[in-house]
Amino acid sequence: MTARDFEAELRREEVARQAEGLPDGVRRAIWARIEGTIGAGAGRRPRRAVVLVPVLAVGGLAAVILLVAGLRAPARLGELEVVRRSRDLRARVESGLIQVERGAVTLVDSTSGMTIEADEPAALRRESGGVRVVRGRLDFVVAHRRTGAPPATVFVSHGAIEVMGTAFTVLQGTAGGEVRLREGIIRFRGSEGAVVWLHPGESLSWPLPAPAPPENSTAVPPPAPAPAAPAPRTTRGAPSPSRPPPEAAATPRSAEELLDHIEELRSRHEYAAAARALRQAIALQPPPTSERLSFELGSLLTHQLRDPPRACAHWRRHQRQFGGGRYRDEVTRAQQALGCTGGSANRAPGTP
Amino acid sequence: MTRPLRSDAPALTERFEELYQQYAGQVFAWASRYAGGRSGWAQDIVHDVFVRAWKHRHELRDADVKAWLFRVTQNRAFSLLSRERTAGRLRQAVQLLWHAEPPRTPEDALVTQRSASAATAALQSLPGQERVVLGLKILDGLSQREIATLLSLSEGYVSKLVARGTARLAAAGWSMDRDDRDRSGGGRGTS
Repeated sequence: MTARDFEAELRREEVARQAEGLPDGVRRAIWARIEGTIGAGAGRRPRRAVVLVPVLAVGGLAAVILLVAGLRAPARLGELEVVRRSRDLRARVESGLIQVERGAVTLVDSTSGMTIEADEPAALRRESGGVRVVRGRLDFVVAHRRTGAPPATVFVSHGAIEVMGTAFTVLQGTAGGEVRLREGIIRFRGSEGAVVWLHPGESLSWPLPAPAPPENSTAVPPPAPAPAAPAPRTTRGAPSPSRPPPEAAATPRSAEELLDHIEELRSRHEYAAAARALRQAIALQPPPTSERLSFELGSLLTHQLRDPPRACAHWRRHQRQFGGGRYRDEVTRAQQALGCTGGSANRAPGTP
Repeated sequence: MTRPLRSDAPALTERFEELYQQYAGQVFAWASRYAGGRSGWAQDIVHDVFVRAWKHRHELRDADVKAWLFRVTQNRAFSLLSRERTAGRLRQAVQLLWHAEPPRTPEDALVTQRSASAATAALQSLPGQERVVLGLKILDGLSQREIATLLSLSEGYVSKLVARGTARLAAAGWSMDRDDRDRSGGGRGTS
């Protein structure tokens, strides 16, 4: 069997990827997020100048400005922006409650980065921290949120759906409801405190059943690794409600990886950063590796940073810690080149 | 449609949105090369690139916008992938310690779904930096020198990344013969 031509195949796939483009919902959601970010900066939208208006004309001009602003402002329903609407849309807003009575509409909440599509009667409202589904079926696309950013929240009758960037559908009835996850990850936080994670393809109904005994509890995050407990009313197999993948822990990175990183920093001439990274890593690595890293640090101080006092001090520490070691000759040469004095430049290898 | 971005007109935001509408798909496609099927990751790149474009809107010349966006996208992807490599290994290590089931986050699932294309999947299997460098070399036809300039790396380091990535792909059974033709020559320029 002949090997396939990597370049040719990769190019073909690139063409397909370019043709696929960016789905409209995602495009709108990203734009909403960008607007949120750049809106926080100064002077995003130039303010209308009112300073020079003569006092007597303020009233009339203000009315004109308000009229123009009203005409120019994007269409809104309540606190949400309308980005698409069907011709037959009939919707009204009462005390902040947006009621879609007929037709289809796509709404964007730029604060939370949510795009919400309604194509059948539904009711929802913007609330602090998110959007509440009062009734009906709504499709959500939520722009991906950075790790550490607060989740976007969709409030429902018996809890809240917390989202880090995903696509899902909510059906809210009078006595309960359901969420169906299409993509990404969501966390349902019941009003009783139970937490259930959903994975793509799964759905969850509420209200949740009464809490199970502790050993079968579905509340998460679980304290220990996944004793595969069944989740309440989730479909499509065991949803394995579990904590999200742990983020950075205090585990040292591998030596290979660290050396790659150092090489990259060296390549960029970011020697001080490379030295910092090495200094932090040396103590975390086993002796053979830490000796290598210590040697790298000494080389940086000697040849790139050209800092004789620190380099000499480092080589002395290196010799105390590793004795002669693998780099004995190189260390001695470096010390001689630096003119290190009062140290161990001329000591016999291995002496403390 | 290429109008200069440099303007104090009140319609600047609208013009910027036009710019976004024009290039967002392209930036997303560039980012998706390296995303391993993670739509959210590529979306993050699009967001970051356009926020940066907004900050530099007074310096951008319209004729250069696409090249500027390309450069910023590649650099952002390169930086993020460099950081991720460490975080990913930490996650795996911690999960192994907990005897948890193999990593199966929703993002993993998306990777599986969307990286079905064979060559793209092979590219995704490479460490992030090799991924970007090989992508630039193969898909954008950049020379190693051009890649080094674009990513602010030394040519030697780029060469090493290319060699490593190529070797891994060859070891995985791919034909990489074309690689030799571009050892040091000029590239075809950005897409």
